[in-house]
Amino acid sequence: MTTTPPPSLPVLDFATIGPAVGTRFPDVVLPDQDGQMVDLHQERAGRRTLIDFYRSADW
Amino acid sequence: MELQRSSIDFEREGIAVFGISYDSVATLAAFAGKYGITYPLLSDEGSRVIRELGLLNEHIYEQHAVYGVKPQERHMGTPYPGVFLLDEQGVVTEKRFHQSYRERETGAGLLEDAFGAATTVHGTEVRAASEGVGVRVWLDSDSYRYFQRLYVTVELNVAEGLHVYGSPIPEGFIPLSVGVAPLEGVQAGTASMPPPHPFQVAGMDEHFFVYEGRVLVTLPVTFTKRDAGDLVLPINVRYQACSANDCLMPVSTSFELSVKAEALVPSATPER
Repeated sequence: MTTTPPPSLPVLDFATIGPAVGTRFPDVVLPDQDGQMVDLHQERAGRRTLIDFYRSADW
Repeated sequence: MELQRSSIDFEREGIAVFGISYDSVATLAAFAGKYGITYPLLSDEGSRVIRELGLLNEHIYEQHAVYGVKPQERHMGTPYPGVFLLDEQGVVTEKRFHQSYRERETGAGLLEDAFGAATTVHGTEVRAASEGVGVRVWLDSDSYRYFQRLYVTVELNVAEGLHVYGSPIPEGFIPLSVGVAPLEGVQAGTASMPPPHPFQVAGMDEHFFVYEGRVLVTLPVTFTKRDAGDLVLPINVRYQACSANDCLMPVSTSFELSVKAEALVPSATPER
């Protein structure tokens, strides 16, 4: 289900990049947009979760 | 951010959503205020977590070069763009990353394809029906951007007492199939079908796999041509409905989904 990247882009194997499928997502504690510290696993409170890594809110 | 558009559906499905980027809290606050973002946008200023997770995009300049974007130091530190899906225990069940930072999925598409949940907020929808089977087809957004990935969702509602066939299937029978007719600028992936149930027909030795009730099929499409303009996606759905005793005529329906071209967002231009 992967699409072909435009020519000359390196083809990356994302299975080996970042936390692997089948492993617990590491603990992440970071401030949110209100400056409040958020512990991701605590905040998701047993819910299924979508974590979106995106380029930037600024460009 | 596009995910916000589907926040009501994420909430209804009990799915938590987080965004992570290298932006400062102030940048995120302004962004969240401007676009009404209600889910947590986490600030990994300095990209420590992005690095620790092994997600630092080390190819950003190469990707820029392909798109004609000038390298700038502030572009370093971004993650590979993509999403992680976690189960209730916090275990990664799926990763969806793309070869290009230009390629994105929509919230509605992720809900339908990754979480198997129906959405209430989506794009153009068309319907058709044959005896005993209602079909709805929709696209998760009514507009697309260059290199964006959208999902076509096909929903069949099969009347009680009837079934449609899945695969594998004995010769001479027609399984449910969903496809996009070839169209310049549109790259279609493989349809994702739910697992069918085994089914035995009285008096026959052959084994069948069938779908009953409500069936959701998703199909990814990526828009690979710049300036392709507004498009009409031709979606072909084929099935044959049968009862335990006999079969109805096979049905092939072509659905046309209109999708508008969005102008490239200002943030994708090299000038800034």
